[in-house]
Amino acid sequence: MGTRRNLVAKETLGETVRRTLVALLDTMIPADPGLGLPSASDGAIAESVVQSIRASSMRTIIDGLVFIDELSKAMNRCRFDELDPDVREEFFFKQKLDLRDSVRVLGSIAVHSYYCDSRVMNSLGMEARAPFPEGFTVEEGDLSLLEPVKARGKIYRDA
Amino acid sequence: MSQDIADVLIVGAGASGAAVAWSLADTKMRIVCLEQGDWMNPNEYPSASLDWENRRFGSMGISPNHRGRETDYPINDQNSPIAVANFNAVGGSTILYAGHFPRFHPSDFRVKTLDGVADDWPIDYETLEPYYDENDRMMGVSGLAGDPAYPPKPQIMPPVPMGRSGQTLAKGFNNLGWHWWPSDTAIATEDYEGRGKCINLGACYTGCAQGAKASSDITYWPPAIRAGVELRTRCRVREVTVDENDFATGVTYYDEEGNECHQQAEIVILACNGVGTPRLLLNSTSSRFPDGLANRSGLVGKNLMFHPYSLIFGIFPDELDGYMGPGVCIWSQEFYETDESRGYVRGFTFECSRGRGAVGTAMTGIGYGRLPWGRDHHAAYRGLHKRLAGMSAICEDLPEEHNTVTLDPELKDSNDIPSPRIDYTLSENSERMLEFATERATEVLKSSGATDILVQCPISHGGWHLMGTTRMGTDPERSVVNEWGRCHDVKNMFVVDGSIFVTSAGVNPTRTIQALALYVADSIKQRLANLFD
Repeated sequence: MGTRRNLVAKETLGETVRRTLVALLDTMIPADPGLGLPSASDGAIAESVVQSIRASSMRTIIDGLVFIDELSKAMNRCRFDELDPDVREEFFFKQKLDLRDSVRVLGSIAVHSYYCDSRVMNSLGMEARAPFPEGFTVEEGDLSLLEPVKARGKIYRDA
Repeated sequence: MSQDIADVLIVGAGASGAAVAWSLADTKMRIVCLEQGDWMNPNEYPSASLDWENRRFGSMGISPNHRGRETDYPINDQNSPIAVANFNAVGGSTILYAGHFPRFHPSDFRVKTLDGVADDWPIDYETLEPYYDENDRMMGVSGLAGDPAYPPKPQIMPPVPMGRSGQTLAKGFNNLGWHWWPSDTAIATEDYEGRGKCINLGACYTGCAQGAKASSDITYWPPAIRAGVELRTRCRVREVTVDENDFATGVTYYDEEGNECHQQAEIVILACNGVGTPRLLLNSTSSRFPDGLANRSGLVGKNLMFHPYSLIFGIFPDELDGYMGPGVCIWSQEFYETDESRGYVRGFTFECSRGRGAVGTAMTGIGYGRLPWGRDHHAAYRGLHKRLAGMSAICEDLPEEHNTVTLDPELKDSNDIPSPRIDYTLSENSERMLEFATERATEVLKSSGATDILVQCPISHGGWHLMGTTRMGTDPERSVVNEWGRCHDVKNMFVVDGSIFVTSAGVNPTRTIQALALYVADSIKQRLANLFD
């Protein structure tokens, strides 16, 4: 059999790009202390995002991060990660159309990491554990709801 | 080169290969099965991990082109609105299926006679019925007896729970006076034959760590192996070899180290699914069969059928089951039988699904524009979490010769074997049926209390069911195998997978694939004295 395809990104994020990434994650999914929710820029989540970027997606993401940072420098005279959070969010929404490929790819990776985080699961009322081996309880349901279906009788065709 | 001769050589250890191996084992013939995949280890299934949903999109994904397992072969499905979904392992695609386990209906075998389309099958529901029953016992089927959409069938275990989602949707169906019923599932709701009962892990699509879902690696294979069947994994078959009398002599395959091997056999049975089987036959060319083995009809690889699916979800105001419980709960066959006033022939099943996991919910919200980024993200997410439920409409696909599996001129697998290419278009009948189904689903979701409706039509990565590419029939010019699965052109070669379907029906095919495999095995056993006449 052939060799396993390399799915892990070899290209790495430089320091500046990583800072932009963290700021963008914070913009896309900010913290909500009232709900006990971390930001997607939280250390463990952001690291999970970085580790999850596939080789095929890395260039798209880097291009998007460089683009928004350069644009911020040109329009705001400071780096994207240095913007005030409210200003940063407004700026992000204005540029979202030009960033759509990067945001689509990064957003998908971000929610995969974010919604597996124990703090997020707890905040949603979920137990932060694997489904197996404990499993879950599901209501059996009321089979008397079938009475009108039974009363109607056979609906298949003879052949 | 191995010089031993198998009495029976089976290619593929999935749903049908397992069933035919088990059934033939009682003949005491020497049976060898070659499988390109591995045995799966249920302890490593995603549901044993916190990040189980993520792995659904990785190594346990449904696409052989994306998941990157070295046991897969690539498939060029760029020229199809529906991409192929499969899994290569002992158990085949039953490792990943949902366990939705409907039977065909009597009318499904008589579409030409009843509706004037496609062809009738050369066998009927009554012929398959005892094999359905036998397969139900082997797989362990749960369901509720008395479904008025079917002739009577035995109940082995009680149905999976309806849950909040199933009850909510059931009320919607009742409001409209439409049929619904708890789904038949290949999921054990009681401890069954050494398998633990379902504990509602909610991760059926990525393998069942509990062993409640009936994948054929844990149902048919253990008794088949105990009865003496030899199963070799990591063996990728390149071609079936033939002699000058048009008899199969065995197969050439590559083992795990890439060594070319040949296994001789008296009987060859193909169980590689509706894409893998025509691929293997088309790769098996010789002076006797220049266009591919068993292809004198020219029909190998033609008449490919998927099931076009429409996915319709509602957003509900109250909490439903979400990520808990098997994906399946209830079904509706209100629109199963033909009613030409609807603008199409044949019909479909609504398969209701109870919800999504946390990641799946987020992906759905983003995909449909219901989950914004930024400060409104969390409030919007809470409006979706455990509030999604809906259904897919699985529509009958009719056979058309221009829908094909051929060999790709460039794409090859890691053993340099030409890969399959899919060319497929949705028919006008399918498009009208999908549209009708989507409208009716929207009605029932609204009647159930949904406040917002999300639609994907067709499901682009929904090519789970691969059928029709070596169709069954009595006329050698209009079919590839006869009415008991033997190739017209090669009298010691059989096909038992979904390739031999004449039509697709509007239900999941695995229960029928396995019943057919048992029926073909029984036909072989009954004819052993004159099998090749």
